[in-house]
Amino acid sequence: MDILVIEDDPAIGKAVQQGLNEANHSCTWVREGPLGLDYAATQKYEAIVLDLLLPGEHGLQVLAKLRERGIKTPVIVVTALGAVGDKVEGLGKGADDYLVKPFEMAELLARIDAVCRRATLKPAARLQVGDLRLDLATRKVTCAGVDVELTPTEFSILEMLMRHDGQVVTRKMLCENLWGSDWEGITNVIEVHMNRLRSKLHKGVKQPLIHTIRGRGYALRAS
Amino acid sequence: MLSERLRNLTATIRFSLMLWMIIVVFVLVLVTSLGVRQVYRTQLLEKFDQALLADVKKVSQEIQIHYPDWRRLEQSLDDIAFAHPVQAWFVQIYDKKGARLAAGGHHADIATPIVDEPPTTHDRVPYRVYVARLEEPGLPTLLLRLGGNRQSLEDALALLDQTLLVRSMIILLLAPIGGYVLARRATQPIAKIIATAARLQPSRLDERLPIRGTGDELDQLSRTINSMLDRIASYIDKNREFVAHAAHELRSPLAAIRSSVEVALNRQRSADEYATLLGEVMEECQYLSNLVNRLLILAEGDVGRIDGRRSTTRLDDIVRESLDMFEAVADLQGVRLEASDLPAASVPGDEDYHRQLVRNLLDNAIKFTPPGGAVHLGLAVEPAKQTVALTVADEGVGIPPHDLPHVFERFFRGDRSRQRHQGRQSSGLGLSICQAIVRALGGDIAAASTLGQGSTFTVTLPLTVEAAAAGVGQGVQQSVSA
Repeated sequence: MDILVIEDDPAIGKAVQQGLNEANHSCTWVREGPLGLDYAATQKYEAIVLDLLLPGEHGLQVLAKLRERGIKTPVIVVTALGAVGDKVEGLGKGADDYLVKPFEMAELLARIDAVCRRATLKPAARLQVGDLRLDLATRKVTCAGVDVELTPTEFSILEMLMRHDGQVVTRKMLCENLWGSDWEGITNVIEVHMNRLRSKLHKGVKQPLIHTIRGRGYALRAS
Repeated sequence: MLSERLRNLTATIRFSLMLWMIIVVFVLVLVTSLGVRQVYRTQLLEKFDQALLADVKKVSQEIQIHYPDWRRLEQSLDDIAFAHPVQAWFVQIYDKKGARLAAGGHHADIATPIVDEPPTTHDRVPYRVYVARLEEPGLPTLLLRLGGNRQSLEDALALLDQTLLVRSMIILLLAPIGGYVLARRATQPIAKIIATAARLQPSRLDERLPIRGTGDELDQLSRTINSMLDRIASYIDKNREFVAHAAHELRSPLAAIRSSVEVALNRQRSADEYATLLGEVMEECQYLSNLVNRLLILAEGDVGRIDGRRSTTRLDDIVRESLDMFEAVADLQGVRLEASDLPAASVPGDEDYHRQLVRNLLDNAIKFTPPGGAVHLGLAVEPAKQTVALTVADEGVGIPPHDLPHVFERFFRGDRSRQRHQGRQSSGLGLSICQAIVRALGGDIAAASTLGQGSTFTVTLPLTVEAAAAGVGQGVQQSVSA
């Protein structure tokens, strides 16, 4: 995918560019709002990553101008401001998603995927990874042909993992998907659910499907 | 430069007090002087007129004695004039037709035409003249004109004027000096307040304004400023403590990151070893950013950025969601998670804040409840007060009475925290975040505890106006047991 990154911080800009390139995206990185606006107007991008605290023109102004010109490219707003008010304002001005610094590359990639899918594809009715099948309509899960009984929470976790098949899904992403926002306490609320899910899935399966990736989160791998 | 200093001087309260005093004294002196002069003059004229009236009687008697011998009459009138205290005293007698019959005393040429008129007094400068009709039995009707020089009267008034003028001048000259001294005395405490306030530094807020004990407005002002200084000082102290604590908290993950990186750099390692070390660094980074986010919430509360006007939240939904979140954790720990009916309750504030609130309370309660115990969550709408009460009760060890007042303080970790030392120690921020959120949303949070039996946290929040008007109360059945 072609992605435009408007970010003035050189360290973050460079890291994001590298991360996107490694995930097989092509990335244009500009450091000023007006320049970014020109790029967005003249070239076709599938997503725009926009920092809010830009020198000169504020990111929200850039966003407003972008939408004024009729550019409907999905925009993920990135900022160091964690306040709820800015989030509301950003989404109100036409942003498709919102990410607070510091963020993880996995999270940004997942969100880019999500906003692009939202913009183009219809959600699949059925997900399949290896022997694992998940039916979104009937909310049924089968593993190697055997029905697996899951709680709604476990179902959602599995759905998220299957949607990001082979990629890392962080605890934060899971938390936000399940319960609206991240949990910043010490207690690992995801892990317990994850362990239950694992024990249900791994019954009769020799190779583990869900892998814990230290310091990052979880990944579903079929092989 | 000079005009600048002059402007500075004229801008002071002292100067305007002085100016007002001078104006008031000037007006008072002027009014008093004019008044005294008027009264004195009226009295002098009355006396003069009374003397003239007495003279009329005397002259009338003389006429009765000597009538119709006008020559003898004129002689005796001259005698009266000679002995009379009034300067240039004169009397003229006319018949009805205006022909002069006799005259005595000073031969003033008075231009006033003599006419038949009731007794009146006239001022014919420098004379004061009394005109009267004389009708005595056995005499024809006579007209009398009688008067004298007023000069003595004018002299007395001039003397008075002079005296008053001298006194007024003295008073007016003294007024600015008196005004200056008085204004200085009145504004001296203000000068002291200014000097003390100017000495105050954020780093040294121990000094206070002196209270003189008079109870006047300046004392009240000093007291108000002092209590404001007390509040500022305690606020700054708390802030300093907070910053020190926060720095301390941030140091331990930083140290962990540092040591992981040092180990990684120490010598060549396998890719797996590097991955493990980087994973450790990542975990510490996550812990760091969570800590910073929690500190940011507190900071937002401090600067008043948490407010409930922007959005409303269904608290019952948040409670349900949080029960779902912690259900597995409670189960793992052998703690029963119970909830009574959750009535619909709309409260002001963004849902993220309410999530923080409910999750922190629930996390705490589960953490301090031993296996086999229960955590009970209740939500009750009080329509009369337009509030909703959220209670989170645990069956834990309880909080010692000496710790209870401090549980909402930032970074406060009671003894009970140490009882569970598996994994990382809690940040000690959860309850203070709850308090910051609840207070910012116009509610209240309270803790009650019995040692050995458990603790109960009660959050009271105002209902949103629409929700309160709709008369919420239809409960939604919800019960979670783990």
